[in-house]
Amino acid sequence: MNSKGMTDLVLKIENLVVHYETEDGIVEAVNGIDLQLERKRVLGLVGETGAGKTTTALAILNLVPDPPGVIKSGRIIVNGKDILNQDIKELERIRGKDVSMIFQDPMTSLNPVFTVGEQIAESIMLHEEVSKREAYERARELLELVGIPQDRADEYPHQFSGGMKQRALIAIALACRPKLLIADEPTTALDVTIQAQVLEVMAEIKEKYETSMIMITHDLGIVAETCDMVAVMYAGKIVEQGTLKDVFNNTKHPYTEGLFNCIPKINDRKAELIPIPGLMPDPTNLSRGCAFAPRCSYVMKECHERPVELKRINDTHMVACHAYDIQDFHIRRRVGKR
Amino acid sequence: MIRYTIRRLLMLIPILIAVSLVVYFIVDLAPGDVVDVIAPDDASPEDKELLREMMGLNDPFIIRYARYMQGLMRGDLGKSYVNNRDVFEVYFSRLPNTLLLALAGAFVAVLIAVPLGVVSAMHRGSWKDAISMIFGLLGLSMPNFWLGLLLIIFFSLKLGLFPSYGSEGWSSIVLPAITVGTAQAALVMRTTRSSMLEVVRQDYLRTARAKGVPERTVIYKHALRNALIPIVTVMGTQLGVSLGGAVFTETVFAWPGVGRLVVDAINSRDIPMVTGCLILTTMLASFLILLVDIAYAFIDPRIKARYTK
Ligand SMILES: Nc1ncnc2c1ncn2[C@@H]1O[C@H](COP(=O)(O)OP(=O)(O)O)[C@@H](O)[C@H]1O
Ligand SMILES: [Mg+2]
Repeated sequence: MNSKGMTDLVLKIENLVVHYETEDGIVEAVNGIDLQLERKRVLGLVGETGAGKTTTALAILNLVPDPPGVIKSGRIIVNGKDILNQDIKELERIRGKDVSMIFQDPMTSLNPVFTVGEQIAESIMLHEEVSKREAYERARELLELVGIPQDRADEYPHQFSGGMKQRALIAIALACRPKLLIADEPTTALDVTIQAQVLEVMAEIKEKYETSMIMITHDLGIVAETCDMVAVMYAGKIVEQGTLKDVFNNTKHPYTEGLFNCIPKINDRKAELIPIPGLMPDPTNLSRGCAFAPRCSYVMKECHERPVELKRINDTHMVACHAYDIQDFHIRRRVGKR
Repeated sequence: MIRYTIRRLLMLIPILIAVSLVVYFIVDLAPGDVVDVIAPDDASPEDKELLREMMGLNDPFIIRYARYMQGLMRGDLGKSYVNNRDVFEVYFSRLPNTLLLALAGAFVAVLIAVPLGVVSAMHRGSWKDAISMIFGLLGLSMPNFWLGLLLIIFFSLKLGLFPSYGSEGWSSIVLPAITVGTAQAALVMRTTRSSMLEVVRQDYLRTARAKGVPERTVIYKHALRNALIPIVTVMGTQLGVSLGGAVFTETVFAWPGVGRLVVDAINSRDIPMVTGCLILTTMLASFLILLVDIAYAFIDPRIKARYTK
């Protein structure tokens, strides 16, 4: 690992802790996560709503809304730059250029009073020494690249469909060929048929621009299609991470297994879906032990008491679960291999 | 857009007719008439009656109004009962003063209020917000004439910086403009603040920040542009009100504007003068509102799309 050095890593997060200090209490949104991403790789960040995925992504841009958000501790290195220790000017240069983000809701993420072309061109003009005309010309080309006719650059967001808006947002995010692209549930708000098209566009451009990517989603199907690496998040912590193969074929964490059990299976439609019982714990009041313990079917006494840490299964695969202290522990995969 | 404008202008015609009827009727309803004002003190009741007969004041309301409308249709607003001067001319001799004061007041309002409202919204709950809100409350609740008197006492009597009355030279407009502008500023500030508070939560501002747009640009370009509709509406309405003249301010500063012209005309029951002035004011204010509505289309493309449909 070390022999490769820092240079091959686009992203390195160490012990990131983010709280939202609200009037109703302190929301412990992200509780000490470590992540690494190598160049040209795609990392899937998976977990239920409220797991802390968006907060993690915003922290990478140092854009956690403050107040109420506070980054309590941690280090985030993007493309060799220490994000949490930059002055605002430097941060503005990094955002959009080294790392950019596509947000969850395309319907509300474009500014309604500027044309789509202007919004793409603005990004280019911020980061490169180009004239307004050049920037606009490139904006038109970018639209073409994401599958929208160039002429529509002069139109306003309200004239675009949902899928087109998301593509326009992809064009904005990719305008300056960022080293790292974060896509926060880019297809959740879209129709199923449009979802596939948008994913296709993203895959194409990622290939062309050699961008590394974090794909945030709760859809394991999308992970299987697009990702090389997977990190499963629960209550602000990473409970399992590894290569796609590690996590899909050699699932270790009971929560990950639970996620697999509650998606329909293509080749066995009659198989019954087993939702994970219970709800995510209240993030203002997390227990000392494993946060998944109250919902876990393998739960032991110590799970409630002793904090869990990530343990290595192999070179790439890690899991945070006390059960693996026991020799020969295996989780029971319910129906045959997917 | 052009068709929309024409339609709006045509709609103005019935409005003006209604205004003329209502104003004419109400002033006529008031006790006493112009003869009591213009007749010499020693005039006998018979002399006055004769004067009324000569001026046609004894004709029934319908006849008099019809006569007035006849002139109006030819674009003639009639002559003052009091001094026989042409209403149109008198109005336009006063209008520049009123416009000047209205625009200067609006200028003061915009210069202070919009930045103040933005800062207030961006630092919601802080001491900056508190100070702005206190200003907003004071500005709205302080009577104009009182503020005007305070300004005169302090800036002209004590410090001798600006003249306390009249309309000569640029310096004489400073105090009246501040007086008119303060109340407007307070309203515009509060509108800016609440409108910005709506907008700052919007997702597209996050998109802008994520692509590296500097915070100032995020606020003054991306957010303010979206918050502008209510602000422009309030400013347009305020300006429309100022076109009718600022009676108290004009009185305190002896500023020869439209407001006092109308009040004086009402006091002397000068029906053609009152009606004519209000018709012209209504027209100007309607143009202004039309301008505001057209401005909407330039601010927000979604509204433009609706107009052209
Ligand atoms: N602006 C905020 N203020 C207070 N709490 C927040 C805010 N944003 C997110 N949270 C809370 O932080 C936790 C993590 O949220 P989020 O990062 O959005 O999760 P995810 O993206 O995985 O759904 C949730 O409990 C959420 O309610
Ligand atoms: Mg989210």
